Amino acid sequence: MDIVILTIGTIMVIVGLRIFLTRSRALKLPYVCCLNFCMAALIVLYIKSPMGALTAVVYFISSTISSNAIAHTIGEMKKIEKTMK
Amino acid sequence: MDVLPLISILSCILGGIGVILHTDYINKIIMFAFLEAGLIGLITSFYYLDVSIISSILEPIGTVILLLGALKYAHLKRTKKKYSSEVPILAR
Amino acid sequence: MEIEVIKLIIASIICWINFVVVDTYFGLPKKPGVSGAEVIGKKIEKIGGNINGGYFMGNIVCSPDASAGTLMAAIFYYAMGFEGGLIAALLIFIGNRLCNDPGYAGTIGTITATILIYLCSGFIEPQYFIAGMVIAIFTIQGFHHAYASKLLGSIAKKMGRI
Repeated sequence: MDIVILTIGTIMVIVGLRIFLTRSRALKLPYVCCLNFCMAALIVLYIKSPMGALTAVVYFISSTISSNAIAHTIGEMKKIEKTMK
Repeated sequence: MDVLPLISILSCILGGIGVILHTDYINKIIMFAFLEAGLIGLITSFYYLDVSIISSILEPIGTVILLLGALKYAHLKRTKKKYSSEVPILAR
Repeated sequence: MEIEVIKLIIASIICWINFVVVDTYFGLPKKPGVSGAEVIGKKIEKIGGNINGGYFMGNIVCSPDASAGTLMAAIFYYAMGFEGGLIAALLIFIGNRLCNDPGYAGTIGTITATILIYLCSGFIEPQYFIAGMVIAIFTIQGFHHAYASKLLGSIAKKMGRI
């Protein structure tokens, strides 16, 4: 077993447990960002070809757009709660 | 067994339990994004690369539609109290 | 076994210095670029951190900056060789424009990371840079939020970029 893959796997398990256990909504998003980094690295280390690298890039940019939309929605909902009271 | 399928299955199971257990709906959507990461990893570990690319392109579209629904629901829930307090006055 | 651990630590330090310096130089701690980054910055300030470090971490979450550029440069160097880094710069620029960001930091960070990996290619193989970038992002985003934001704020104040 390689030390590179073992290191990334250990970090990914720790980050996954911390996403599950954190209470706050806004503080979960940095952990999700770290999880996306780990998953892109594991995909390209599993498939050692240029097509694997293309898959990793497309996955990473799409998941970044998704977390951007979630953060924007949390800000809008705080603004709604502040103005309507 | 290799590392990528093992961690993808673990991520899928944790995300599914999290979608059930959390009560706030933004938390549910975050755990759904966590489940999608495991799902794409599980598809990739069986070498279906084209399916993986298409599903990772279509994933933020589904998340954005769910978030638009959540935002509309919050706006509607805030503005409904005014109507319900004014309607009895109009009816009288 | 020991030589692999030493290579991993050296690659991690190179990646950390690269993306922190490039991101701080292009003004990420100064203001939130997109509206989602402001929420994360305010929240990190509320739990006892620095506001400029919070803006830095929010900008990393909300758009692919030099941190993503370093990882993508390592991935494409591992798969294709030196020309892959230039393809990665183009893809990172497209991703930056999708997230409504100017996109200077990501492109410059990718090109400098490609040059650094090429200079180190005789001693450290590219897969150590992939794991090193994951360790570097874990020390900022996943370990302890308040302490990391204080460290990033002091670095930004020392470079004079607030």
